[in-house]
Amino acid sequence: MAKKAKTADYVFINCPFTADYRPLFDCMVFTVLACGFHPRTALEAADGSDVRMDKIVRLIKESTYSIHDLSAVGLDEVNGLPRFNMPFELGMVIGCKKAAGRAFASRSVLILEETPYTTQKCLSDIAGQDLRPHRGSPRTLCRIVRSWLAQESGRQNIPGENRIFSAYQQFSNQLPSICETADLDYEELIYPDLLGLAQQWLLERAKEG
Amino acid sequence: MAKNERTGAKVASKAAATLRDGAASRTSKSLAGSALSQARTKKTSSSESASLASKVLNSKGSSKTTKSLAGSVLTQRSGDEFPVKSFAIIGSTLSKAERSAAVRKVAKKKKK
Repeated sequence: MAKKAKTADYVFINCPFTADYRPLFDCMVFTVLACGFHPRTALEAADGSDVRMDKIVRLIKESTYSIHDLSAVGLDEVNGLPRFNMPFELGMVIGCKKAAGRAFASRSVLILEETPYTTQKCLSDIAGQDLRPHRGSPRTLCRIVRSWLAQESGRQNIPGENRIFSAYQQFSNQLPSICETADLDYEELIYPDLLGLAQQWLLERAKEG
Repeated sequence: MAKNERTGAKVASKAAATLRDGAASRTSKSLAGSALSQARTKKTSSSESASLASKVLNSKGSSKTTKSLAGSVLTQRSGDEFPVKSFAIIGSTLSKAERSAAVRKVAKKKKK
């Protein structure tokens, strides 16, 4: 029977859920799993009556770690308007850290952007925070997330970046075939299926090791 | 297993004594069990044991014996293992068995 993951393992991922972001998203989910943590996103299944904001508040309350990618704050191609969701959710987490008492003060936050110093131009209040640029590269993202989790958790069983990224590349290459075998549409793969297949792939790999 | 390590006689003896010791903590006994199971076999530590061992090595309150057992357990961690946790996936289209079958089938094809 599958065990329930502990809150100390929860990593809230606040990032775009768009098709162009998918290589980074898949890599982020895989890296978090491979490091021994449990990724949580607003895409996970919930009670149908769960209002989106309530769900996000629950994820923030339950997660010891959170990753916020502000690389998609540019203008939306359809409406020509900026997207505020990611900075808004980051603001909620920083607000909790600063004002919600000791239980939240020690929560760890990783803030990502695509190119260095771009976020400061549109969100000057963020000055002083350590933003990490991934330059749209899954490998760089894997390195940043892995190093941050190792540093913040102090865990010594986290594998090295090369091993994680090499495994991610193998998983990523096999994923379309795995989906086909399981009668799933790779292009329309829902988050719980991605999470479950990545977890199972890593567990099978551990058995082989 | 990176170096084909096995638990040495000295650590195995400590592990056996820990298992017999009624005052030993649950953590020490768990690590002792893991270390002892690797004394005569090439069995590697599970990710749960490796994670526990890692926590013990980082903790200031653990005894010298417990740290020694933890060190032994970590040495025998599989060189290619990921500490991935087996938590329940809510909302997945597939059951765990179906996911496992699909992953295995593709891995088998790739090996051929």
